[in-house]
Amino acid sequence: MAVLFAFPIWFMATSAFKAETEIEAIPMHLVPWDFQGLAQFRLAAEIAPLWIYFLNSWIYALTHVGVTVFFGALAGFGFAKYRFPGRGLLFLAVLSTIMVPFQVLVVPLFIEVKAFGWENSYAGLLIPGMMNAFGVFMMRQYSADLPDELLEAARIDGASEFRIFLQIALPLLLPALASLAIIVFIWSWGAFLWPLVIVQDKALNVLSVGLTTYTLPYLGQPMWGAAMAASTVATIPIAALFIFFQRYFVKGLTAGAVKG
Amino acid sequence: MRILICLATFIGLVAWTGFADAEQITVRMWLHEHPPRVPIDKSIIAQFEKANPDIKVQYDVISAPEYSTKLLTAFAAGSGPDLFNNTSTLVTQYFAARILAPIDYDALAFANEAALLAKFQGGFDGIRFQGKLYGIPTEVSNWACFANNSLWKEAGLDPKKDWPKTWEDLPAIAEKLTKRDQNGVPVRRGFDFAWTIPGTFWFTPNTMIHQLGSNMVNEDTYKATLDTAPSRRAFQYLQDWAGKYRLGGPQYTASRTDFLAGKLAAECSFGIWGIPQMRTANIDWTVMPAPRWADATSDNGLDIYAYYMMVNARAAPTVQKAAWKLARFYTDHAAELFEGAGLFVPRTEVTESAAYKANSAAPFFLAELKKAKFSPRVVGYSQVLDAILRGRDKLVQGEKIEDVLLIMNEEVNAVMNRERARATTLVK
Amino acid sequence: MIARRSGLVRFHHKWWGLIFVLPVVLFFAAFNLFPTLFGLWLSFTDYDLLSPPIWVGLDNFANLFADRLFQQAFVNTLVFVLGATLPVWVLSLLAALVFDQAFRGRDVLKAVFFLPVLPPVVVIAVVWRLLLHPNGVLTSLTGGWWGITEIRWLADAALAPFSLIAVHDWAIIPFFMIIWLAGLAAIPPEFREAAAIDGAGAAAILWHIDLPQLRSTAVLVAALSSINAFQTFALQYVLPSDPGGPANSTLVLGLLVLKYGFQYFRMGDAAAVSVVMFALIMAVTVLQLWFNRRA
Repeated sequence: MAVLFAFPIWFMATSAFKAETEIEAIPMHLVPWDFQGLAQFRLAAEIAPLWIYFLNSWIYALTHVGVTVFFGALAGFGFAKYRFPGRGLLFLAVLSTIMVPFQVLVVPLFIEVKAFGWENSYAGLLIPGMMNAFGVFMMRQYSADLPDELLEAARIDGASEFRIFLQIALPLLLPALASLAIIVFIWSWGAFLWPLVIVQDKALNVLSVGLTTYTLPYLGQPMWGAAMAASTVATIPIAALFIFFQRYFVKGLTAGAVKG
Repeated sequence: MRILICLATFIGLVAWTGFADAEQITVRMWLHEHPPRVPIDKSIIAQFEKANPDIKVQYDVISAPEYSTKLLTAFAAGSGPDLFNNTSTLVTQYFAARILAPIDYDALAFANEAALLAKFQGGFDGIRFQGKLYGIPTEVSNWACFANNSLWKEAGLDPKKDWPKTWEDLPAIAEKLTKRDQNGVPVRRGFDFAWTIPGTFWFTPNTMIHQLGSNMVNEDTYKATLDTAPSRRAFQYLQDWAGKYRLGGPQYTASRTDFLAGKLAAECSFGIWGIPQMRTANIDWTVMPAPRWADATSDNGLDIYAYYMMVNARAAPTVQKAAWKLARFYTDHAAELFEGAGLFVPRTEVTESAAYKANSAAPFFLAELKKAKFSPRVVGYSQVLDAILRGRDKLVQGEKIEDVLLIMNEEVNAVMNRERARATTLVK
Repeated sequence: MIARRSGLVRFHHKWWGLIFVLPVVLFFAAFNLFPTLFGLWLSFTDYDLLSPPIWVGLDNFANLFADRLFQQAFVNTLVFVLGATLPVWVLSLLAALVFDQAFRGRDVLKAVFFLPVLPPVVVIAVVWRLLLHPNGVLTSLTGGWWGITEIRWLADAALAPFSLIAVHDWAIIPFFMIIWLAGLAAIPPEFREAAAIDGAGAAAILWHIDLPQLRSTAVLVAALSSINAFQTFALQYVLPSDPGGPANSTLVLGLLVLKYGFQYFRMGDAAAVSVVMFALIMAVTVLQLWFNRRA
């Protein structure tokens, strides 16, 4: 039953290696009878700048992961371990941003970004949405568990707060950071709405938006083989992540769930 | 010490940019993507830059489905191109928002409008607003029907002899060309309309309605006329096509795509520019006029649309002048554009060119062009089109035509009323 | 001396907390709070990007309720949300119960079952678009039994919404299964053992022990799946050949915001729709939480 469930993924991966006519064959061929090698991938790269999209998706995902994880940890730590006035209010404010669906933001954010002159640029693509309130929330939960004595001891030894964060808190938070990094990577890799709206140049586009070029052919043949090849390329990084980091993967997905 | 370095850099920068400004004007030019035309564009631009060393052209090609959206967002951001083209169906909104600069005959190097028009044999109707012209045609297109000779032969038919002259005759011929499976589902269609190609569906009913002497939208009163007898006839025909005759419909692959793949025996959404594409796809074609109604009052073929090259009124005056200069240079190369990309403009350079004379389909297209009409131009085009597409889907679902058209008319009127109320300038 | 020193230290380090959280707070102020308020203001204007905004007060909202497109999107969204929550809740729970039992090859099968979650939404849409071609793979696998050769999964206005719900559910059930599994794993085994010793059968254990313990997980799954369902639009955008589906039968509110904002360029109306969307999500979430507290 599980195998049946996953067959579309199998179909996608194998179709990337089939000839166009074989893809449309009825009944469906489970494996390519006429193995095409990398021909469909090459075709996909011809129709649209597939590898540029790929690169941009990496840039987008990695910057988001880096920024969210670092500043999320910093802020989470700050909220958990420091009693400053306004702490509760600010945390609530940050948390409330999770509630707002992106559709509410997309139009005003677009107008705002274009006012900065960032439309259709890397700045406009990467900066909005670079930080994530969920990251702050999650890191706060984990930071709260850090033993205060360790921090106090470091303080008495004369360490600056920032050093305490870097050298004591971060290493202890590593597993949580790994989980968060994975979640954020998956979210950013599949990000669709914002890149769709803000990017106009093909050279800046990410995979998720670029994929639509294969299914909205204006003239000429529908390029299903190329579409499947491109889709496979888009899936491989996440699949690889899953295979190697399965433990963190699952942990990350349920982190918010169980703790919350 | 540091202050000195800063000062030096500052002065250097100012001097450098100052020099740059004094010399060069940059014209940002956007065109929509049409693969055969792009290399020609580049060579024309190179020639222009050589002849005008003080003008630099920044040329960008935008993919067709996204072109109009990108233009709008760019204009909104204040970073719209200085020179751009777009089709007659969409220019109204630019005009209404005062983005279009009226033709600067000086910069264009024509004495006046009459001098400009003298070079052409029509095609300017789509860009005339309140008596003034706002662009130059780079392509005037009318569609015609193409038949795939080998597929017709297979069915024992000859396009030259058996092509239906009337819409009434079409279903029977299409049936002969259609291959069906045991359930009657067409696995290879004989003839189908351009149901799903973005922005093109409405040409078909528009043409049929024009032939009956009516219109989808009355441009003078700015009211929709979709709930009239001619309109009903056109849409009923399309509903029957998909429902009663099961000859095609929007659920199948787009007609142009299948025709080029050799899987559709005939269709009517290619202009003369389609011929190079058929050549590449190895289709042996015959071109035929669109069918008319048996009792048609107007002998028009499929509607015209034109691409106009327009100048951004919000650009700096010097840039605008340079842009018009470029527009003149570009459009003067019409013969090259026709030969390489099949883009037709009704002007003597083209009709006298060798490529035109050698093109067997050219006289046919010109003849049809003279009889064809422009589709209505409305400001909220996207919304109007959506309303019509919704109607299309409901008809294909089998809903009653009276109800569908009533709603369609209401919706289109609502859009037009709204846009008219908010537009600071009215069309015509 | 130590007291004074630690007093000084505590004063300093308290403010460091503020410094630490400042980047995040400022970021959200600029890119979240401000746009939200700006969006609210926009919903009271008529703005087409090309000319300056015109204040229209509550007109946009009033017009929305009479707007056929909005009505359709509203209904479609409710239908979709129902289809994306109830079946998902039930099926993912069932899947979790199955995979909670130990059997040979369980881990491998679990991984395989999880595959639909991996690809980005757009990939899922593209692959299913091919599979759901009227004369394509899925038609042959289902209709093929009865000799039907054409099923208009995505082109039929009545069928399209269900196709979309099915694809969405397919992609999301494994995800929620994992959450259920985590909840199940959190149930102390002693509870189950004690019940077994008392002679309770598997079904009884399920009903009396597992389900009550899973309460908070159940609420979480319900909340997450509904919030997610309200916001999805990528499937609706890419799967059908016209975003919004045949006769707009799969037009949902999320997609309507895009349509008004970036196709029609009626920014004020787009903002108004998004405000309605937001209100809807809040209402449903609050209702769920309140219901949970009562029951």
